[in-house]
Amino acid sequence: MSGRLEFREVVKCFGATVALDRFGLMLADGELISLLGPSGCGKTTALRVAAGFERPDDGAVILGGADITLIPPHRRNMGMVFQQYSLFPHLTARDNVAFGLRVRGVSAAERAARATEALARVRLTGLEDRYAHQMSGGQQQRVALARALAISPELLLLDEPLSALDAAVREELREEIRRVQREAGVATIFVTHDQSEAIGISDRICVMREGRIEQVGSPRDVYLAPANAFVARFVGSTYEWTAPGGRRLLVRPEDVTVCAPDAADALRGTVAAVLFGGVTTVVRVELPDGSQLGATVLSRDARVRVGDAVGLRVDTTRAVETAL
Amino acid sequence: MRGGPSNGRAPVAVVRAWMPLVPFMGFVGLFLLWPAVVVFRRALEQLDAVRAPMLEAITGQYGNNFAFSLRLSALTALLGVVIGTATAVAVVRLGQASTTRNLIIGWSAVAANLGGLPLAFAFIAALGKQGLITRLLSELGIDLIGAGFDIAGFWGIVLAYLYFQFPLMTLVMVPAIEGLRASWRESAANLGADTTTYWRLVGLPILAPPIISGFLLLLANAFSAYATAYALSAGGSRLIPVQIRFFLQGNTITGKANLGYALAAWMIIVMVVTMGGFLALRRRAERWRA
Amino acid sequence: MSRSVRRAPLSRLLLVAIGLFYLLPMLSMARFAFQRVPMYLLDRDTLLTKWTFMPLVDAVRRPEFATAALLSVRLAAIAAVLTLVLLLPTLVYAHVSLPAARPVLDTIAVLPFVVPAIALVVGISGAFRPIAPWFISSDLSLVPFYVVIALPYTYRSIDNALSALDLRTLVDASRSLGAGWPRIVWQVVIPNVRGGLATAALLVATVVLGEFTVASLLLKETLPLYLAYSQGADPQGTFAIGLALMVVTAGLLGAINRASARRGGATVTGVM
Repeated sequence: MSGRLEFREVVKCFGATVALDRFGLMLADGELISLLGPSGCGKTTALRVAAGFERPDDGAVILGGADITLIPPHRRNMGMVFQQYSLFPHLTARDNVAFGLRVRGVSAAERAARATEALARVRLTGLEDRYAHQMSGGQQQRVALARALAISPELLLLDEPLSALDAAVREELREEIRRVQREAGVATIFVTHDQSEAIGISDRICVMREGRIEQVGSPRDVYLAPANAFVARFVGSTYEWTAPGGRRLLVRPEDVTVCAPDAADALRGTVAAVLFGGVTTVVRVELPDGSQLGATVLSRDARVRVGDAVGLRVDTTRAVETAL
Repeated sequence: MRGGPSNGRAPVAVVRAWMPLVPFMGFVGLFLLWPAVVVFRRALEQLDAVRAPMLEAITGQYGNNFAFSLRLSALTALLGVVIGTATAVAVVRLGQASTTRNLIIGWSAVAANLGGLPLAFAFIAALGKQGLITRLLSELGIDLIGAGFDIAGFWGIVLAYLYFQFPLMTLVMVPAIEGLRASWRESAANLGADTTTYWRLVGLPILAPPIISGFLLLLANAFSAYATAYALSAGGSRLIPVQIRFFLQGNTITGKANLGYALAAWMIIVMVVTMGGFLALRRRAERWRA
Repeated sequence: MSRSVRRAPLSRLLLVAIGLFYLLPMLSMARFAFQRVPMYLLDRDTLLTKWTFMPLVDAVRRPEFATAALLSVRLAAIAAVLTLVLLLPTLVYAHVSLPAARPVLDTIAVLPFVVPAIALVVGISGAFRPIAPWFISSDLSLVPFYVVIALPYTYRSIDNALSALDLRTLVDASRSLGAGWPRIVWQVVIPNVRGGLATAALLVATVVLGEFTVASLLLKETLPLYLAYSQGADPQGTFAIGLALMVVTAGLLGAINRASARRGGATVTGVM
């Protein structure tokens, strides 16, 4: 139940807007790749091209070695989960999940059994006879997931499935999706604009902007070794800093350490804010030239107060240069 | 719930909470419910007499008229459903931003409420013996009158009723069709359904409640129409609303006054059934739409 | 499945046919009313001659018309006021203090649909004539029935307007500032639901302009009835008035629709 998907030089325009600009990406069997980027970057378009709802103006989509670019969506054997409201309102959860099986001619008894089992896998046993309007958002998305997987798809497509949910439900469901996806071993594309979501769930992240790929890599690589300023800014937080010598750099707060103001090679500054964040605290320091740098410290070690004079040491090994 | 009765409160408190609603409820009770109750009370008098009015109203001659009314209403309702739905589909295709669409919906909201004498006059002016369209058609070689068409006859009334039946159905169906979410269509496609299968398993089942409720609404609408039927007299005189009128003006055979009440009572029963069905189905459709 | 708008020729044809179906009777009525050429004389040469607004002008000048129009206007005004006086306090109270009553009120508001006008008139006759014949013979007796007939629509309009506000908060805030109930309704609620109230009043006007059944059988001489009475004496004028009535009704409904659509409130769609 896996597939190797390839986007080959896909171009898609809507009128004058270029949504995908020679988009090329390869997905390995069983891999979960996130398409991450701001709205308008083309991630949803790429997903819809994979699903067959948009036909590329140029380029091809290859699945398991076969060119599926011109194949209509209902023959692609892919499962898709939308942001919300995708469950058929007139069917129970069980019948929703069984829908794909019904279309394929599976007998009523068998599809009821398989649907019940699929719902058990997403931990919704007991809700089989509920309708969409009787379920919470999180429950609906679980049913949608079960429905997509019930047909043993070659590819699983998730279009911001967590965006419409409450924060608490989001975390829980994210883990659920990951678990179910791994168990099923199906290649998956996960579209999101939330970088922490992408980091938490993916095997690889594809950061996109304006129809082009900025970087593809593991969450670790994308976070610790961003390819350019855009990726550095989008994934994780950064501070702009002009290093001695004139280079403008983007620096992550965890690469900045607080030390005594008179320490050697330390920048001098005043604490402007102490932002408690649970395990870690970010100490924002204002430098003599007016710019600010943030330093992450473990909360239990944070002993500075607003107005204190402190010193900062900046590790620039992972800093990214930025033009502006 | 501030100020509202909770389960533990004394009955006095509950009554006091509902007191401010008495003027409204009393008003409706006095001017709507009491007359309706009187209709049934008078209709059910003489229940044990040889010819009970309630029974006589739906058998024999009056029974025929009742059936005629229902048939005419059902026919206009059916035609209204078909054309109204087709119009709604055509309108939805234009897209939500289209000015034509908004014009048609706006006009439908108006036309659904037109009726009565002005409408009857308009049809007489168009298709009566001296009608403009009649004349136009005869210039083109089609002799309507000679062929037996009478605007005051059965088909004349059907045509006039359709004037407000079509738009009513359009108004019911446009939101229903636009409420078919794209994500349902696309989910179905993902799961393997082609267009035909989608309509068979998803589209039509979801549209079924609005369509049926629309039919019931149109049925009730046609059945209770009085003014248009009255104005197009000849064909309308068998319709129940016009028949009731004869009783009210005293043009009755003596001893049959309660028959008018019985006819009215049966009308209310028909309306309760159809409008009840309509409201129930509409509630279900709304649950699904959310 | 591309999201492009398809222009099937069949759809176009249907819309054109429907358009004609609605236009032609109106045109015929206009021709009969405003052209002083009898049908047997009508042909290509005379088609554009002798068009005049005089039939309408003359009809409006007739004293019978003035009487009927004045009666209808009076009834509409009183019925509109009565509707607002009845519905607004009731709904405000229900929204703020007794939400449990709202489903009950919603049901009551649709009851007029199950009692068609003709059955209602039979009931009115049977109920009021024996007990209070003076009520029936007064012209004003139509007012409460107009209120009832318009109720499903006017209720929806005002209810929607109130639902759009956070009424509970507004009332709580006003009361904490020391305002009593009358002041709250007059100075806080009404200004914020003006649109809904105006719509309700216009809906009543629309009903009064078109209501024939009850008025006819209670032997009143309202404007819709004028059409029936004057048909023999002044056919062209009657048709002209009828057309004018439809235009005015259409205008009213159009204004109502546009106003409600903008506010996202109930539109006049029958029972929708």
